[in-house]
Amino acid sequence: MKPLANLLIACTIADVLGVIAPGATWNVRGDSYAGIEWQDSIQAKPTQAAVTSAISSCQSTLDTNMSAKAQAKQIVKDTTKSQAQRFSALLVLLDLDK
Amino acid sequence: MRYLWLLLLPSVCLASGPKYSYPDQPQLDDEIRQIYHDIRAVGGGNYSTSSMTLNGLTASSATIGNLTSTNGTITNLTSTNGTITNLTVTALSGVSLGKVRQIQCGKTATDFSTTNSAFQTTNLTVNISPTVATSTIVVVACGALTNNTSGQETDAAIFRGNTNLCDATFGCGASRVDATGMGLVNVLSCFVTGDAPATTSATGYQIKIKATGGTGHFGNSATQNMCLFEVGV
Repeated sequence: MKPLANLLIACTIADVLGVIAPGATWNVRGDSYAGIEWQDSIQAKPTQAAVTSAISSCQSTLDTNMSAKAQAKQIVKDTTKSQAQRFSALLVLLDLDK
Repeated sequence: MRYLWLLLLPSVCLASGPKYSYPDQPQLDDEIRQIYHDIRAVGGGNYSTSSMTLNGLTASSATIGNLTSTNGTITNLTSTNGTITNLTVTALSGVSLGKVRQIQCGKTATDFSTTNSAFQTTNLTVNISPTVATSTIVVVACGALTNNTSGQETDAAIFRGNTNLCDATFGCGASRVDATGMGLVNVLSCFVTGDAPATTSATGYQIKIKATGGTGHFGNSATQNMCLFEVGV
């Protein structure tokens, strides 16, 4: 499975529930903890703290990836950089956009 | 002098004679003259009465406060300029008029997500109370439908209460992402169906979705809309 943050613009509760409780059955109305309707009989509903922590982690990874992407774009377009540097940056872009 | 009264006779007759003077109809008596006057007045385009029984009335300009018929039938109510204003009918039968009896619309900006493989009720619900039990309800709903996992799909269906008005498996439409790495792809999806609820009671229509795998989304940061059209058959 791809890293979650590679696919997102912003991390939501629905996004992180799939990571911290894989395979569980639930509904989410809106994007608040109160909007979670937990339907799984095997896995317990994650606590609000766990969900908040997962969103924070997801957002941090997302921000890091966005920053790395912006930096790699600059290097690819920078003709003063060596060919190896630009090629390496291009690989980073491709990897993040997989 | 003994015959002086003969000279006064014509003026006496005129004082107690006919109220209306129509030289072309000098032989009419008073009662017939009154009717003749009424008909001429109506024919002339100006007539006002608080209560009158009419048969075969044709007027170029008329204002009628209450037009009723004792046998419940008014035929050939027409206007030469094509306009009859403020015609209120409490009960109408035997005619075929405009078909859309009412429209009820609703929308929500609340996203809905599910991992359930059975249809789950989203926040898009609209109620309608049909005015006639034989009406058809045409349901039109649109919203962004997607799934976050490659190879999985999100199915959406229109429900009346717990009754699925679409396909039991695929609903009225589905969104599927097959290309690896595409992530969430919002697909504006619209669903249409016709229903005969056979009731005049308040009836709710909802959009429900399910996911074959992954997480199914309906809305996903976009407003979802639904309109119900009550259509006469």
